[in-house]
Amino acid sequence: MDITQWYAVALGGLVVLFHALHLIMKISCFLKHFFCPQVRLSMRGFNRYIGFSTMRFDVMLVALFLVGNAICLTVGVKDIASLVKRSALLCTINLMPLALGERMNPMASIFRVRLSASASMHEWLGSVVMAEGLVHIAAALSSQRVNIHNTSGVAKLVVSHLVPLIYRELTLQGWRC
Amino acid sequence: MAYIRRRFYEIFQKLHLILAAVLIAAIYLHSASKNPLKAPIVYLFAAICLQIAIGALRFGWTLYRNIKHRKPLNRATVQTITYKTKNRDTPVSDAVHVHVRVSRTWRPRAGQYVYLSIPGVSPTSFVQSHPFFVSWWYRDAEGDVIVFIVQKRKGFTQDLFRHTTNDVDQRNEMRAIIEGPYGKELDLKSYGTILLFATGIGIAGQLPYITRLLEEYHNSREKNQRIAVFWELDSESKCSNSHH
Repeated sequence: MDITQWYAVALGGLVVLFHALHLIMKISCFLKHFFCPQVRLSMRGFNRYIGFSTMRFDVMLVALFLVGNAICLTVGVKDIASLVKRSALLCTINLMPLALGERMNPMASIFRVRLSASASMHEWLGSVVMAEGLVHIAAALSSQRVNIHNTSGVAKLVVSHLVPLIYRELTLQGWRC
Repeated sequence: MAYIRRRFYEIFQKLHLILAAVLIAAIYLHSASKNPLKAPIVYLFAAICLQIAIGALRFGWTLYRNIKHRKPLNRATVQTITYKTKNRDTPVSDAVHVHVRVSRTWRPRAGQYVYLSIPGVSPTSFVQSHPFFVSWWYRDAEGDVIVFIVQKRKGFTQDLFRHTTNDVDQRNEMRAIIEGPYGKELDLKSYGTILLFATGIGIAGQLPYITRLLEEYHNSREKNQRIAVFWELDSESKCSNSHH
């Protein structure tokens, strides 16, 4: 198995872990005291970006997800071509839980996940997919010259300008209404 | 973009789902390998299968909740909230009570919410469903009724205000579709002091907890549990949202 396949398995595990928090807390009192305290974040307004709460478990989960993606995007990448391939693959893997949408209510309800937490998970996945999509576009564009005299070249230019705009919109303005 | 999202939220949300499907199709066309058992197509295939499975689960759950043999469908009435003082009764302008007579009863619990759709509210409301906390429930001669407190915003909730009434009359009833209930009740029995916080309409989610805690308090022999509710309000008249 290569690193992306390990990541796909780990992501599945992370989603299960996220949903199984309530069961974990019931099983072990020690884990409850380890995971439940609130984390003091020195950066003002950071809990807004964490999304659901600043409980240690939630912060660890978000950090683990971001670090996992960063490692998979960099480890073993030797040239631009492999970066293009790796970012595209990671983007597709993250699309799996993202495609479930933020209304995973039946599952969230069974495993006692809060409505806001479920929505935040969707937002984080969406942001990372967009970021990896951007890396993919940037790497692909840097490895080939864009001919603006044909439709394909114009389309690539338009996408490479639009995606950063959408990404900025999602991350800075917030996806919530 | 943010302005468009706020102004046309419902259209934006549906467009978001369509574009997500377009994205999956575009990735399929874009990828060099089309083998469904190899990466990256296998991941797209898994995403589609999960989507179908969750969608089917939700659809089945909604059918079960709304249709019962020889029972009418869920019916909703939108009732005006009145702020009562010694001198006069003033209708509250920015919130209503939605009473839904459910066809298939369940035992409502604190912390539960449902997605509510009322197709008769506006021409586009049949494609809209919004989450609301169950604020309280009661039983009358015709069956079980659950009540939601709905604050006036734009779109669906604004349209609801055109159907407000003070009479509980069958002519004012509209068909309602309920998806849920979702959410689980927190077990607060073991805590000595319970602090509940709410801002404005947020009290809708806390009311069932207050009711349940008070019931337990009155039924229990040990009266050593302390309950404090902190409710932030813009004006005193908003208190009437919680009257029942």
